[in-house]
Amino acid sequence: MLPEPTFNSVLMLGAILLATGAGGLFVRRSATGRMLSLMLALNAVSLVLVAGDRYFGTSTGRLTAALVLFLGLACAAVVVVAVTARGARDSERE
Amino acid sequence: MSATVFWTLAAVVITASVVAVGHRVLRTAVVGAMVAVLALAALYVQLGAPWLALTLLLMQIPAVLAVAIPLLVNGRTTPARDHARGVDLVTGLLLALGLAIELAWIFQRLLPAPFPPLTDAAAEAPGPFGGMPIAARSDDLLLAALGVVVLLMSLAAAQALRREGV
Repeated sequence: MLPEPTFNSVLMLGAILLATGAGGLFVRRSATGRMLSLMLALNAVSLVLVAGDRYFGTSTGRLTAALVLFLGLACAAVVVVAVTARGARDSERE
Repeated sequence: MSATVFWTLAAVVITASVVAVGHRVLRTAVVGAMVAVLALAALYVQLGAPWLALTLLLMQIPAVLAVAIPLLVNGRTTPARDHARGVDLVTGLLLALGLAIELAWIFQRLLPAPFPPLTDAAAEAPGPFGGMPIAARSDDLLLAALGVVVLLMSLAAAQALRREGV
């Protein structure tokens, strides 16, 4: 029988996810790999905020979590532009 | 919250995120990241935030695809170039391991804090998705407005970077 999930369980899951993402920032070298890792770390923060929201019965955590998600989106936009610009520069050189 | 569903989703999230970070083939890493995002969205629904789950799906899966598809099509990133070696690899692995152990040690000292049941009346009412608990509150409507603002800001930033030739 599995134990009932508590706030601590979600905190633990968030910690593992954050550690995986932070480790990936070092292990990966490409912009895409680092963006995936950063996105995982930001998702860990969002998960903990949503769980805190549910535990404390508030709704501000969800708003902050959405902000964090949009921050990840902005990061992805920057990576897309950087990769596209680099590709264009490389093709110009060729 | 169903214990079986929660622990299954947690296992899926951890496995998929490890694949996304550690796999040498970029295509597999992208698939791992998308599976992790899907499982996280399901966890958000379990935690009573379905609108945030929808936001996550609508924002992050297209973002991952937009970044990864050109690289996958062009095949520019080889597995050998994508992974760090030497000091960076050891630092990353040690950092991840240390952070996980430290946070786990801190959290296991806390008293177990069970989640209270969902008390929002809107969550118990039959919603537009066949009785799926949709806790639509006025705060949730702010998410859409906030999303539009941040999306426009990031598009403006992207245009500015493109103009500068970054």
